[in-house]
Amino acid sequence: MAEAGLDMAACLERVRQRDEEASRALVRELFPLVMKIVRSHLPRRTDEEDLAQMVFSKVFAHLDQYAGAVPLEHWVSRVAVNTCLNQLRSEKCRPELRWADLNEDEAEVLERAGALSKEADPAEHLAARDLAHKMLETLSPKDRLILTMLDLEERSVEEIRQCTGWNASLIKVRAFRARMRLRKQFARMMEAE
Amino acid sequence: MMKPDFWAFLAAAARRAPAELPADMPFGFDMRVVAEWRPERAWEETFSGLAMLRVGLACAGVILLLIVAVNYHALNEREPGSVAMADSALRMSTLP
Repeated sequence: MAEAGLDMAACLERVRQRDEEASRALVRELFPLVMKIVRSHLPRRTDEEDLAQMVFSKVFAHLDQYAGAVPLEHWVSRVAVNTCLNQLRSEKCRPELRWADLNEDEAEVLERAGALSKEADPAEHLAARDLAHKMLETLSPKDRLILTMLDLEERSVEEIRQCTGWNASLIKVRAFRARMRLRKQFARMMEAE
Repeated sequence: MMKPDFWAFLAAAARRAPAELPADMPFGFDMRVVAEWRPERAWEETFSGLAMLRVGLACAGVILLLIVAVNYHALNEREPGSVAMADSALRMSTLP
């Protein structure tokens, strides 16, 4: 729950002076933002709450490094994205997705991906989202992060650049290659089926 | 025809999925975060406590040394009676 009218600058100052109440208010204020990022980039075997706590630990540990050049939310977003990325990297294996790994809804979505209309059952769209995430899990952490932000969250290259610090060309090239990989994987799955 | 744009179709369908409910903060989450952050400060407090303990021990040591120094002679002094008795025994045996 966001704090109504939290004066971020004053709150930050109090947090730097180790004021516990201000620290808790800051956590409450930033929780929805952090959780949204964590949910979008959650590694398979990680609990979202644990990851969010990890993000906040880093935020507090490095709060002295925040110079105020950008809004705090941007800085926290970057910390959150990097934490998720590191966590994804620690998951060494990226299993190849096979037809047998899909549940019934996902298999159906895969079969008629091109025919899913806007009016389709919300359950089908949910299945599509789950399938998209499953497919993204087979990519490298950076590729996964870029495609999630670009294609699922519809964020611009500039926004991704701000969040990650990577340059725009790298983001575009990685996105292009990652989409190619997904298409190849899709083709393999269809052939195997 | 579907193959080349498969990911685009899937991503578009995924975007149309109902938005996830905004995350409610679990009870006590803020306290846990602040408590995890606290050990650093606790360590600082512990460190200052250790410093005070050291000062206390040093003071106790100095006082102990002073007590020993003040009472050095008294501690080293032999019992006057034992020497006096030996002297008197010698004197008695040698003197006529």
